[in-house]
Amino acid sequence: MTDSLRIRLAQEQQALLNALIAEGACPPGYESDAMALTRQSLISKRLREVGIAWPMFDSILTTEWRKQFQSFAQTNPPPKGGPIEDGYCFLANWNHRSFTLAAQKAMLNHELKRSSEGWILVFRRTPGLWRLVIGLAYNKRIVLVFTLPW
Amino acid sequence: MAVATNLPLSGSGIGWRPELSASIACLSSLSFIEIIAESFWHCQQLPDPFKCLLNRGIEIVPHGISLGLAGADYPDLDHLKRLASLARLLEAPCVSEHVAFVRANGIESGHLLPVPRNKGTLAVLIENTKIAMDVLQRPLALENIASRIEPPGSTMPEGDFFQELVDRTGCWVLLDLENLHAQGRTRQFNLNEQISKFPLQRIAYLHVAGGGEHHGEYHDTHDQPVGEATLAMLKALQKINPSIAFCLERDSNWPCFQELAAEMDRLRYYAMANLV
Repeated sequence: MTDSLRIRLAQEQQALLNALIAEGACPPGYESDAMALTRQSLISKRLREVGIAWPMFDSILTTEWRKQFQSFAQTNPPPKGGPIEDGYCFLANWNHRSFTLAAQKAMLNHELKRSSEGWILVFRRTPGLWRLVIGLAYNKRIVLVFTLPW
Repeated sequence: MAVATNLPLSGSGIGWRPELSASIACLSSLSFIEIIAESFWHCQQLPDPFKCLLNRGIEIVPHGISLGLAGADYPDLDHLKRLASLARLLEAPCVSEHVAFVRANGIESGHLLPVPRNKGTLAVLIENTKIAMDVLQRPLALENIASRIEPPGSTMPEGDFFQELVDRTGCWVLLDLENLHAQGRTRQFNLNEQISKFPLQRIAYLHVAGGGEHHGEYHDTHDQPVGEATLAMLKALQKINPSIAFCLERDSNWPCFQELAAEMDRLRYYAMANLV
């Protein structure tokens, strides 16, 4: 009964969302100032939530990550998994050459926790340092994380 | 005005946050806490802090933030089942959510976004609300949101929109006074006039919080003591119905125990001032 209404509403909501989080044009009838303010406050909220979900970012990436995240959020809508996944996507997208071992370990820990059931082996290489971070998980529980060469 | 006698909640409550857990455990005269439902999706057992509160007779309300009942899609049944299961685990007197959409075409907004208040949106929202109530099997209270953007195509005042939603679904209202205050500041409307249009006899509970001005704009940041405008609304509503419950929301700039207890006492004083 509401199918045609839902189709129209979906189009309106998609246009609004595209404008707010994916660089889409401001849909007709919306105040551009209010849209710009909302867009910025959505990014600030994401930044705040990612900062809480990944408290180690400030120490392992320095406060530079906050500036980088603002640019990342301009073109990348928030993922389904909430702030933890958002922070991970940001790290993966940034792929900074000077990522420290601690940053690589943080990414690897997240990959192990969201892996599938059973035994999972994951490794990451720290660029420029020629070191491997290796992690082993069983049923999403981390069993072991170590680095090579020691 | 007719006053509902079977309100799902009464007294004073507070939004539970991990940072406030120790303080909340020591608060006296607390009737209920509200928890962010999605943070406890995977709980098979009650977390210890909640067991202690339930043992003290303090009720727990799961408050959802990502169902998106005003979205164009039908509500996600898995999401609703998880919410229902959490409400059962907590023996919750009711569940609350928002009149908002949070995703479109599979893309998450990470935020509560407004919908145009018209008959078309209302029809979709009513259908979604009925589906949710069928699965939840307990009172559902829906909250008004604050937003700077006003979608074109709105033909109904917010109060009328909620009145019709309540009339046609039997849901309850979670009236967020701070959201109303923020909207009032942005749109410059009269708060008392706006409130009077809401179905006041179906308010399950109220949200109160404090915000502040940044660069000339008011933000409901939930990081300050509750302001005078919101207190005045609380007082006015308690005058209409002394049984209306309220819930303090504080999301950052964490107060110490003494500050939090004093804030709860201040709110209770405002709420009870009408009775003296």
